[in-house]
This record gives sequence, C-alpha cells and structure tokens, in this order.
Amino acid sequence: VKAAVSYRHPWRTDALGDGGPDVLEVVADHFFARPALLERLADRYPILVHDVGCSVGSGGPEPQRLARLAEVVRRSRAIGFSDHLAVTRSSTGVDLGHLCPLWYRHDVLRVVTDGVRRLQDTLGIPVALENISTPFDVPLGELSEGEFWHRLVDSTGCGVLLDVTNVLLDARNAGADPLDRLRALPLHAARWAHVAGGRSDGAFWVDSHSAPVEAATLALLVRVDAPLEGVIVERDAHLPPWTEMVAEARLAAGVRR
Amino acid sequence: MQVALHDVLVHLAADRRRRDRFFADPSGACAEWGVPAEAAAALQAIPRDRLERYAESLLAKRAAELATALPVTVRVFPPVLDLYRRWLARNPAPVADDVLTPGLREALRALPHLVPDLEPEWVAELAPYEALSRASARDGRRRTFTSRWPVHRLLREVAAGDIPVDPDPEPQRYVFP
Repeated sequence: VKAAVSYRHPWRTDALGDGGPDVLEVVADHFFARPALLERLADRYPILVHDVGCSVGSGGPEPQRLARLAEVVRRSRAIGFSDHLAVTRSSTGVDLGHLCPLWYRHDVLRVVTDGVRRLQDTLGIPVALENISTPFDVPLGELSEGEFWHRLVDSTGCGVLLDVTNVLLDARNAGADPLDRLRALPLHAARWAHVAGGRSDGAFWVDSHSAPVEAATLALLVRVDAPLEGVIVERDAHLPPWTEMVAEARLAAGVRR
Repeated sequence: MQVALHDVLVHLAADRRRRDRFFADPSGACAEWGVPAEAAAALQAIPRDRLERYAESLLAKRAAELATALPVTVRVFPPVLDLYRRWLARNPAPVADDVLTPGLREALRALPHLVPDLEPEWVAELAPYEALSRASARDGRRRTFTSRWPVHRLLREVAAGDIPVDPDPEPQRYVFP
C-alpha cells in the first residue's frame, strides 16, 4: 500500500529533495497559473490530480476549466484524476467555493454520469469521485446514497476516492455507525483513500484538514474492505514540516499492510 | 427538476437574503422562484440549523482565502475580514474563468465595495495595491493603480513589522506586473 501526500506549495523545496512519499497528489487549480511547475514534481513522483471545482452534480466542468485540467494532467503525467460527488455551482452562475451534497435522484444520476464520462473521455486516465463530508442530507430522494454510488460506478466504471475521515465525521454528526456508511459504498472500486484531521465546535464535526489524522480514522481505515493501492494524507491549515507529513502518510499506509 | 433544486440550494447557501426570504415563507418563496413541488418539499425538509451552519462555513472559508490573499491589509486592518463576510453574505461569488486564487479573485471583486470603510485612508489604498499587484504577479495581466500615498513603501514597512502613523501623501502611479 503506497503512502501519498497531498502537496501544498510551501513544501516544494523539501518535496523535491530526498525521502518523500511514494506518490504525490496535487490540487489542479494550484497549478492553473503555472502548470510548468508540475514538471519537476512529475520527474520525482507519480502524480494523482485532485480537483474541487468540477461540480459533477451540475454537469461537470465548463469547457475552459476542462481544458485547464487536461493541461495539468498532461504536464504532470498523472496516473489518476479525482473530484467530488457534489455540486459547487449553480447553472445561474453562483460559485459556492465549496462542496454541496446532491439530491439522489435518477435524473441527477444521469447528469453526473454524463459529467464523469466527459472527464474520462477528455483526460484519458482513471477518474474517481470522492465522498464528501455532508453538512446536511437532501431529503426525499429516489435513491439512497449507496444506491446512487453503485449505479454511478456500474454505469461509468469510475473509481471511488474513499475519504475515510469524511465517513467517520458524517457518522459522528448523524449518530450513526461509520461501518454501516462504509458498507453502503461500492468499495470494490476504491483504489485510493483520503485521510485528514478534522475539528469539532462541540456540536458538529468539520473536515477541516487542520490537524493530524485521528487514531479513530486509522482504526476505521484498517476495517475498510477495499482493494486500496494507497492512502493520501491531506492538510490545508497549520501545515507541519514536510517530513512530518511524509511520516504521517507512511503511518497511515502502514495500517493497511 | 434536479437543476431547480440544486440551483435553489446553492442560492440559499450563498445568499443571506434568499435564505431569509425562504425561511420567512418556504412555500411562498418556492412558488415565487418556480420550484417544482417535489423539490420544494425536499428543500423545506432540510433542517434550518444545518443550512445556516453550512452557510456560515462558506463565509468563513472565503474569509480565510481573502486573508491569505491580502496578508498585509489584514495585518493593519483586521476588520476587513468582517466587512468582507457581511458583504459576501449578500453578494454571492460568481463562477469565474481565470487562474487567480479564490482569495485574490474575491479581493478584486469585493474591495471596490469595502474601500470606503477601510481606515485610515492610506489602508484604503494599500488594500487594492496589494490585491492588484498579487493578481498581476499570478496571471500576468497588466493592471494599473493610482494612489495618493507611496503604498509600495508603506507595504514594505508593514511587512517588516512597522505600522506607519500619519504617513505623508506622495502621489504614485503603479503598473503591474
């Protein structure tokens, strides 16, 4: 099981040195302005490209964004691409800047399926979608979350980027068993897992990527019944030194061995 | 139908006025916006506290992005973040097609509306200077800015840990990058 770190620019010098992880994940729009910065990273690591702006629930990326994603994939010689099963914008032109849950219905499934196929056709590499940390459920859907995921994976062949932390935090917020949530997902399609540290205001857990990975997340990761190839550690706030991130990634991957 | 629900949901999360209208009279608001009955029922079944918490988290995330984009401005006038959050709550961000960071994009959009409330006056010029110079450094686009104060020097002073007190005006014209 490979150890991967989700790269942030402050780590660049160290990341290009010795002793890094097995794989690097990069966030696509961090490189939209200067995609050439990817080339030295790609010389050093296999790269996974991750995005937060495709909005597959509203039909997938617009043509200009799709072209930029393709350029990032090309420059990084990426081995895989992922985004989230979510909406980030309206068709009326409002950008949330964050992930919003979907209404699990057949017509939404068709929209997402078309968006995933467009990504697969354009990027030409494996595409996976990630389960988000759900701020609320949209009620009265026609499908359960699990049914929606299974149908999507069956119809597109896309993968699941399994965010184990999101499963855990959603379960805590719902007072549910995280194993039940895990079992509902098409885990046979999960090749990579995300883990990160979240935070709570006492009433609600948020996937803040602001702390080391909790022991409870690693314990859940151990119980994931999926053919995982690797584990990716994420951090967006309170960035530790690069060596700590690499050690955290090795620790997380190690629990799967 | 799904487009109607997701579109309304995005607007509810991003726009305080839409949320106020919706929660004051959910059925009336959905009828006014042309939301089909099934979608309207789903929207009305979302717990209000969850939606409000989510909306607050969106504001916090964008404010953090603005703070990253304008570190010097935030250091000399921290209330700019609260001003921005209040403005953003009623002026949702549009979908963009550029290579700027979200914080820089929002700085360029919001500052013309926030500048009248920035204090002292030279900060009202430092903020756009910082936004424009950083945006041009990122995307290579040419931008110009005319100021009454030598904000390039004031910005260096603040970055070095000094807060200028009553600096003398010295008109400047800047061209970025």
